[in-house]
Formats: sequence, structure tokens, C-alpha cells
Amino acid sequence: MRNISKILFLSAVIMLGFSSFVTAVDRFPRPDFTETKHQHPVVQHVQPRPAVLEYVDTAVLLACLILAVLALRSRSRRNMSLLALFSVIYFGFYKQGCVCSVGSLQNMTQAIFQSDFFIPLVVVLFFVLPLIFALFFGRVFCAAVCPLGSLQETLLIKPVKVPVWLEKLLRFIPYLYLSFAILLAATGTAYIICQFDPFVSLYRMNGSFNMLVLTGSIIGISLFVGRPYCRFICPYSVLLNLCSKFSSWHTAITPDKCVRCGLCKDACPYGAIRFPEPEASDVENKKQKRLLKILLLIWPFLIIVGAGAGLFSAEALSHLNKTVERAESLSSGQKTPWQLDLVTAFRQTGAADKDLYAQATRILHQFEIGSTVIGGGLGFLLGLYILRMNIRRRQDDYLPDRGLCFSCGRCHAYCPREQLRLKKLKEENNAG
Amino acid sequence: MDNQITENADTPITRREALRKAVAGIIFLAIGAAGFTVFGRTRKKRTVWQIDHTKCIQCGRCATQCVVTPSAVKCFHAFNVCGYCDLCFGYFRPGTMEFDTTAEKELCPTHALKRKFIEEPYYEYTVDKDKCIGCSKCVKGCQTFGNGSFYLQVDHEHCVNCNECSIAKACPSNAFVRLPSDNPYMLKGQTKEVPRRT
Repeated sequence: MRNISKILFLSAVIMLGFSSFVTAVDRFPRPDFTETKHQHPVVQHVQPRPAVLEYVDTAVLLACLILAVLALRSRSRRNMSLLALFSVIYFGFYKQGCVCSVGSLQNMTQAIFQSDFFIPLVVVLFFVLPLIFALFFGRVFCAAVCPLGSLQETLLIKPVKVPVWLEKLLRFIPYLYLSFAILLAATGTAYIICQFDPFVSLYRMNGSFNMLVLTGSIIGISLFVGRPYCRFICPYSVLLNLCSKFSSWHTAITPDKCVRCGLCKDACPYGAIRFPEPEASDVENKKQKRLLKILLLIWPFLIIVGAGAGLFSAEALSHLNKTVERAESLSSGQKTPWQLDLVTAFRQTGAADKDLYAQATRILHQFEIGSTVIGGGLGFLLGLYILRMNIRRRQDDYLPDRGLCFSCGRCHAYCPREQLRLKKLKEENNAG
Repeated sequence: MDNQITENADTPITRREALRKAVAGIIFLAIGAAGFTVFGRTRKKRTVWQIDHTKCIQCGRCATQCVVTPSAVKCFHAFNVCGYCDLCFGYFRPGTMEFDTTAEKELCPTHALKRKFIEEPYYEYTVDKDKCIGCSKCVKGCQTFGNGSFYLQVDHEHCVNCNECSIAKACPSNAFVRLPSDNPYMLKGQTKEVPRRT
């Protein structure tokens, strides 16, 4: 009995499915071609890039990272440049950009915050591998594996020094960019990093006019300013910077010991070499302490202002979300063509208005919480940033700043100890 | 000189080094935690973009928003859904009285649709994908007045599979979905389509 009812039920379901399918579509009978016995043409659809190749890409990424570490260990600038060129060709022109580690950051964010969002394993690996390498060896990913970084590395022909104050100011942009990218990805609104990726239009030889202008200007700037995207825009650099700061096997300028000759001080086009600093005098110390007190006092203020600004801008930001936009266009009087399409599309789904409004309200709440937290976080970071700028730590040698260093290896050749190692200089000459 | 250097590099550096290792460990754990969080949401297969044609409202943005020119979205034709009509609302401009293949009567802006006589009164319509720009004019005509055998799909011959599809961003009906790369089409008029309709 149970079997029969099951079969009946199943057949009913199938019939229902078919009938809805047929009635929804068929206005005209489908011909059976009794005279000519005509057969429907068969169309072959092209399959996308096979999934195996994605794993090949991951293997190439891993191999490139290992090669970059080896090139850095052997202090070979030539090998590093060759690897950078390979990355530009493979990850850039052959793979045409997606998915890159910089963009994968958004997929990761969305997967963390939305439980119904699925993420391919390859994307997770693209996100995690460079960070882990940075944690051990410094930013070798930036040096010669990232297609964006490698391109700028290759393009730099005549480095111009950016004024220190401007550099310090611009270096805060990646934090802002990262915050927005995380907020918009976590709410499932947009992937702004991909949208405003300046190099993808070069790699694809295609793009809108605005993007081509952006690409052209960034490429033009990167001929003279070292890695403008990496230093002043790239949101992934924030994470790499953090990981690299605590790397144990980061490269050093000198192969053995620093003789403090200062020959390397102009070597770095990225302003990542820290000069020796003497111990602060007592007067200076007092001054610093007073400054620190003031900073500590305004720090909570910065956080509160940041959080407030976040909360204030939450509603405006939430309008970037399509669901919110949809709810908005339902209630708005004079509708633009875009809003009309949104309404038409919503009507086609047959969902109830109040469900849409509820959904939009939920997203608005997400924006409120998210941008408040992010605003507060940015305030905290700004305080930390100012604090760090004003704290002077004694330092004896010329050292790369582990966070900012791209591990390109340009400075190696400037060190006289390196020249000694390569036997291009004789020991007694140097000692004298 | 040498002695001085080694002296300076003695105690404070090791403490700093230890602190550095500890923080590195914490970051390592954080990356691990992030990986662990998404682990349950990880799929072995890569996803590709595709259009759920049941959601599509034929607004025409596919033709203009794609990063590839002409668009990677093409008109597909489900022949077993088609009525092989003499008067095809996907082929002819509205108001056409005589049904012949003169160019001014064609709805398609790029002459991508071909009309061929099969037997009285049936005509077969085929899409030339090299010419199609995905403007969905024919899709709209057929969907409104006919069987709806024309529909839009992302053609994976041309799609570069951006991390965020720029058409998906501009699509008013959220019709763009991610499909596993081994099953990359949502074809019409096939039985396997039925369970996907929900």
C-alpha cells in the first residue's frame, strides 16, 4: 500500500511539474514534421576551462612562491626579475586576472559572513598561501608572484622619491579601502576590488573607457613612482604587511653584518629602509612622553568619532546593495528606467512586498553594525598609526622595514658586504 | 668596531625576536581559524557564471555590461520548445505584415538570426553566435508572444569568468548564478531542467 501511494504521489508531482512547465511555455504546438522527418539541429555548447587547470594554477602559485623564496635566499635579483616576468605572463596575460589573491579576499569575507555562500577550494588556497609565505619569509608574493605587483615592478624605470609626509598620508588609504571592501563583500553587495582593478583591463586588452583611463594613469605613474598600487591602494597589502611584520626569515640588506656605511639608503624605491636612530636624549624623552599622553587622551575620541561617522554613513552605503535598492524603488514615486526594471524583476518572482522590505531592513541593520565597527576600528588604527609615527625606537643598523618591504632584493647589490661576498671587492680594500 | 656590533645585537633583539615569533603564531592561528570557518562552505569544484533564464526579464543590459566585447552572453535556442512559427515574434519587428527575410523586417540588430523553410507552415530559426550580442530583443519577443524557445545563456567560449561578473552586478533580477564548472549551462527544454526550476 505504501509503495502504491508513493508511486501515485511521485507521478502526481512529476505530472504537476510537467504541466506547469508545458503550460507556462507552450502557446503554439510543437511540430512533428510528418512530411520531411526534419530533425532538430544539435548544438554543441563549449565547456568552460576544466577544473583541473585551476589546481594547476594553484600548483604554479605554490611553485612561484617557493622559487621567489629561493631567489631571495640566494640574493639573486636577476632570478627575481625573471620570475616577476613569468608571473606577469602566466597569472596576468594567460590567466587574465581571475581569481587573484587580492580579489579572493572578498570571496573569503563573504564566505565567513554568509553561511549560504560557497567558495571553491582554489580561491581559499589563493587567499591563504601568500599570507602564510609572508608570515615566514616576508612579502615574496608581492615581489614576483602577484600579477599586479610584478607588472609594476617590471615597469619601474626611473624611481622618484615620494616626500615622506605624503607617503605617510597615502599609506593609510589601503586600510580605508580594505574596510570598505570587507563591508561590501560581507553584506553581499559588491566586490569593489575587482570592479576597480586597474590592471585587469590591460591583461584582457579590453575594458570600459573609465577603466582604461585609470589603467593608463596608474601605469604612467608606476614608471616613476615605485608600485603606486601596492603601496597606496592595494587592500590585500594590509594583511601581507601585518604577516610580514612578524616574519622570522625576512631578507636582510646585508648578507652578514651591517657596517653602517649608508650606501643602501637610496637603494629602495619604495621607502622601506629604516635608518639607524640614536637613543633619544632626556629632553626628547620628556617631549615624547607629553606627546604620548595627549595621544592617549585623544585615542578614545578618535574611536568614537570613527564609529559615529560609520553609523552616520551606514544608510547611504546600504543603497549600494541591490536588495535595498529594490525595496527603495518599490516605494519611490517617479521611477528611473533602472528602478522600473528592478520592480519588474521583483514582480516576476512573485514574492510578497513585505518580505522584500524585511530583507532590506535586515541588510540595513547589517550595514549599521558593520560600518560602526569598521569606523571605530579605523579610528583605533589612526590612533595607532599616529602613535607609531611618534615613537622612536633605538636602531643601530640599516634594516628593511619588514612590513613595507616588498622583498624585491634591489638593496642587496648596494651593500659592500654583498660585493665582498660576490668577490667583486677585496677584503683589505674595504677594511682600509 | 666588530665587538660593538655583536654587543648591540645581544639581549634586546632576542626578546624582540621572541615577541615576534609569538605574534606570528597568533596570526598563523587566525589564518587557520578563518580557513576552518569557511571549510564547511568549501567546494572542490570551481564555479562559473550562468543565467537563470526563469528570472531574466530581458532588460538588455547583458549586451552592454560585459567586460568582453561583444558580450559573452548569447541567445540560445531550444529547438524542441520552438513552435517553428511562420510569424516569429523573435525574428520579425512588431507590425510586420509580409513574412520574408528582407533585412528591414528583422528584429535582430546584428542579423544573427537565420530563418529557414522546413515544411508548410514551419520555419526553423537558428542563432549565429558569432554575430549575437546578447541584446535579448528576440528573447523578449518570443517570451511575450511565443513559446519562449529563445533564452539567454553565458557562452563559456567567450566568458572569462570574472570573480565578480560585471553583468551580474548590473542585472536587475539577480538572474546570474554560480554553477559548478562541470555543469555550466541551464538549458531549456531538457528534462534535467525541471528540478532546477525551484
